[in-house]
Amino acid sequence: MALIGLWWLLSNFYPPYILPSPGSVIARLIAEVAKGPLLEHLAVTAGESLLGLLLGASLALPFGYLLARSDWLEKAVSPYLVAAQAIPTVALAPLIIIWFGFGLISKVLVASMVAFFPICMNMIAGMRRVGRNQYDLMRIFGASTWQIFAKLELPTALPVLLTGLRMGMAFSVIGAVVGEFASSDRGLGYLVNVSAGMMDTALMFVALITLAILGISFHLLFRLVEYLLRGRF
Amino acid sequence: MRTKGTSMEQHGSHGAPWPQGAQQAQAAQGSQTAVFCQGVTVSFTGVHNELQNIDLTIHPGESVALVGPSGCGKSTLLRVIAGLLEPDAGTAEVFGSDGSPSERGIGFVFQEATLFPWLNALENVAMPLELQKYLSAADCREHARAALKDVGLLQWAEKYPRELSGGMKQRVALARALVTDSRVLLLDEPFAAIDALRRERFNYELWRLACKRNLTMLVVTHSINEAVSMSHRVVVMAEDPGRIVGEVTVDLPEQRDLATWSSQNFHDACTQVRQILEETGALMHGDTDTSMRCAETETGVHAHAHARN
Repeated sequence: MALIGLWWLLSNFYPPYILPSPGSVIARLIAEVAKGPLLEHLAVTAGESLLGLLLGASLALPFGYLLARSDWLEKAVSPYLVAAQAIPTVALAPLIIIWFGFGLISKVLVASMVAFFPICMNMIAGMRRVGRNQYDLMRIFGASTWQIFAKLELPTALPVLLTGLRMGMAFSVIGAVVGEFASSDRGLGYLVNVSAGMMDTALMFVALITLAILGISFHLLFRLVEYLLRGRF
Repeated sequence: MRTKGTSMEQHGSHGAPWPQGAQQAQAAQGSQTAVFCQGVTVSFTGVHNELQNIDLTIHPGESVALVGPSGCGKSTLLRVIAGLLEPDAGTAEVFGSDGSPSERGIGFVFQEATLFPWLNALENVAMPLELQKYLSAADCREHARAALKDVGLLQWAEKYPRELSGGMKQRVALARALVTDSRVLLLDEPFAAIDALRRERFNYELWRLACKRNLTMLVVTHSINEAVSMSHRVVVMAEDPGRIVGEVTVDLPEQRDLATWSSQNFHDACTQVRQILEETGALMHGDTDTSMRCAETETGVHAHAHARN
């Protein structure tokens, strides 16, 4: 509330194209929702983010597991992983678009690239929580490789892994928006780009607020998944 | 030195909830030895021997304590016997089996309870049975309840590890080691993290349980007092390289209680163990953290063997 109050106060000193008032932004938000395209843009970005997370996680989880189980592999691959992470996604996005076109695939790929690293790193950290004695116990119990994974490794890694997935989710939204910045005709990133070009600051605020709502929704969704999964394990 | 791999056994269809190897172990209980080690040598570096030429025989129903200074390879020997570590030379068998850990029919209790925090006490104890997939879930829980009852924790069955004290956690770990009807129990400093007064009670309870179930028990400990109170025989080890330097037969009755610990025989056994350790220099060079001790007990044992720096 204090932030909105400060915003309202400052908006009195600047023209609307620099800083629109909270009231005008809310009015614009309602108008855009009523018109329809805003929800379509939201759906596009949400879809790209979720698909990006899905692709990133489906690559990062087995990759992180293998790295955690093999010191040799981790030593061999880690430098390249860190180097790849050091290249800003904004710089890679145009290349991805040249290679994969302007459609959904390029945005999903950018989102998955950004989501990959935190999920992979947290998978490794989670797996490292399993102690030698716990592995020894499972061997004494006669557990199979699958049982060791399902009954020991996964539950032990889960709290850290879920944090990684939550971070990956937030990062995949950023990746999707970056992809839309680079080249797109739809999505919230596109809306921010277009509104900036038209100096329509109120619309830009609407797009940013919608992005924030999207981020919070994903966060709450993950909290729910965490709660349900922790109950099961 | 090699670490043995994991394998999964297909279990038989007998009435007892054991893996096949454990059934074989039980069938072989009539034979002369429960644990048989011959010429066991382990080297982690290839140059220095962690264990050198260890010969050890433990008979069914016998309790043996392993004492010695830190780094003398007591825990390593336990891991070799459990099948968790393959020796560079020699053999280690449990009831004639030198197969994978699960084939040896052993129960293992670590210094830390190693409970799974997402499972309650009952689920932790039932886990070995559930992994074997031989019994129904209800039967697994029934066996787990019986094991928890044996260690006096039935009323805590639904509690999670975070809700249990250190001593309770160790007793849950003990119940888990017993739930598969293991006939050989390997304990690696099981009560090291528990305060001295409670340790005495746990030693006494563990001894009673071992007698009741006719368990073969091998306990690693740093405490001479504990070693004597929970064993028929104390095997003394020395370091550089890890080797057996002597053993003391404990001449105490099967029915032991806290009063037994103040007996002359108890005192004599402690003194003999201490003398062997002194002869090997363990007491002169041991660090205080892992001191060999035979502290005065509540009941007034007068044997002292505190480490000297």
